[in-house]
Amino acid sequence: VTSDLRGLLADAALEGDGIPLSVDDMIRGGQRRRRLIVSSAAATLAVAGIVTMSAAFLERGTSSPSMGQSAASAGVTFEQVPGGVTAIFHNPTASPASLQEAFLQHGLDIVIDVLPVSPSLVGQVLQPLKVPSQAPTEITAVVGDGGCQGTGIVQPCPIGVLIPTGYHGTQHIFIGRAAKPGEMYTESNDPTAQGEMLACTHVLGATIPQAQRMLVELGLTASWIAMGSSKRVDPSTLVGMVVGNANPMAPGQLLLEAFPRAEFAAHPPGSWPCSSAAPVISATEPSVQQP
Amino acid sequence: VGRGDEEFTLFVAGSSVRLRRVAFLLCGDRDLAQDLLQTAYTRTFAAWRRIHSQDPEAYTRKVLVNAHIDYYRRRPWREAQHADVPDIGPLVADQARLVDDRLVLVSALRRLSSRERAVVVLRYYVDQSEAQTAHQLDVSLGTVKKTASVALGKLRAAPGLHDAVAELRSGHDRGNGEVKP
Repeated sequence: VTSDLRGLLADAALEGDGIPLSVDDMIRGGQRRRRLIVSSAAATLAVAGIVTMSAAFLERGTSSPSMGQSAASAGVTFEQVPGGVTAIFHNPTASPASLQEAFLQHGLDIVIDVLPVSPSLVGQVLQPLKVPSQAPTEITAVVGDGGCQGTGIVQPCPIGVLIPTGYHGTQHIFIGRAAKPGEMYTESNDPTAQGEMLACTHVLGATIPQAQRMLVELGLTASWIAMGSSKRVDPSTLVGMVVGNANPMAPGQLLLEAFPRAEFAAHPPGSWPCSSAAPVISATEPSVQQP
Repeated sequence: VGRGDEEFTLFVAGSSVRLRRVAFLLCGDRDLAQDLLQTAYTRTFAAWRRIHSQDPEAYTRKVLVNAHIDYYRRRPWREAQHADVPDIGPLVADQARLVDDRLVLVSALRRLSSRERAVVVLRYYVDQSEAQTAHQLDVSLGTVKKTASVALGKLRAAPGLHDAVAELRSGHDRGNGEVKP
């Protein structure tokens, strides 16, 4: 933890990481996306008159499926716990409709959206949910054991949700699923996190020719831009630069941003340490020192 | 997909993480930050042909800051919510110290006015000079100096932030007067 305001700001800013906007939403479906956000906020406040059956309904022993029953086809397991009902997602390939139906069968008006994400986010609840408290009144996250490598810090892995007893309202939940070949990610994690395309590699900090060789070895393709630019360029024009930033775009596809060496040295991106037995993909020539 | 769309797609992919963090520091709320960023990107896209060859990220950041200020100008009642503990998601125990620091700072930022927050974020997070900050906010250099001074005073008064802010003096740390071309 840094002790100056700049460090504190940089650290606190990491809390802003959430579901990124898809370009498609922004250009063509911006209003739809916005409604989702508003809808989610409204659900939290239990307004808009969309009051549906509550978790209390479950406690009264109605015709809902029994707690603990695994809706295998739906990919979600419900369990009665103190304070409400947990729903743990265990099948990232499940369709949104089947997940939603499973919630409806339990009297819960939960809208499920399953979004294509980079590998380490598959199966996770994507949007930030509130910190669970002793008597939650809103839907909170259920986290798995251990932590997940995120952007800069190890974060809890949200694998489900807790719907509190007496909860009224609707909620929109986003779940990560594996992307199909060529399908753009809606959300991607740090490219060096475990399971991601650049885990256990030294692509970040490598010169452009070094990085190109590593990409071939890894079976990855990349688009290239120069730092601060939005124009795709031929990597051969990025003379004397190093890979300063990487964005997973789709399975096997990256957007690599080339930095001047001095800029990279001043603001190195950092990489997660390799935590598997997989071989480290590295260039034969030394690259710029990683932090 | 047109060439402009493709360039814009690349621009968004490369800048969204950085700008989302700026948006979060400005408003202290992830949903709202996303909404503000969406507004900024939409306006940037509309102006893409005009600005893409300049510095689109700086342009989007400026739109973002203005969208944030406009938002609070139109909805002053929302400022009252800033005394609440921010929603920062579920956390594990060994992150408690980290979380405490973040909570303190995000809470303190939320108690600033929207313009004060913008000055603090642009000066000390984006690391812009006072002149650059003035240019982005369309205010005078003097206004930036005064606003920063007031904002730092408020942050200094926040429990737990005194030491972190004490060494900063508006106009004497990074105020090199440079103006972005």
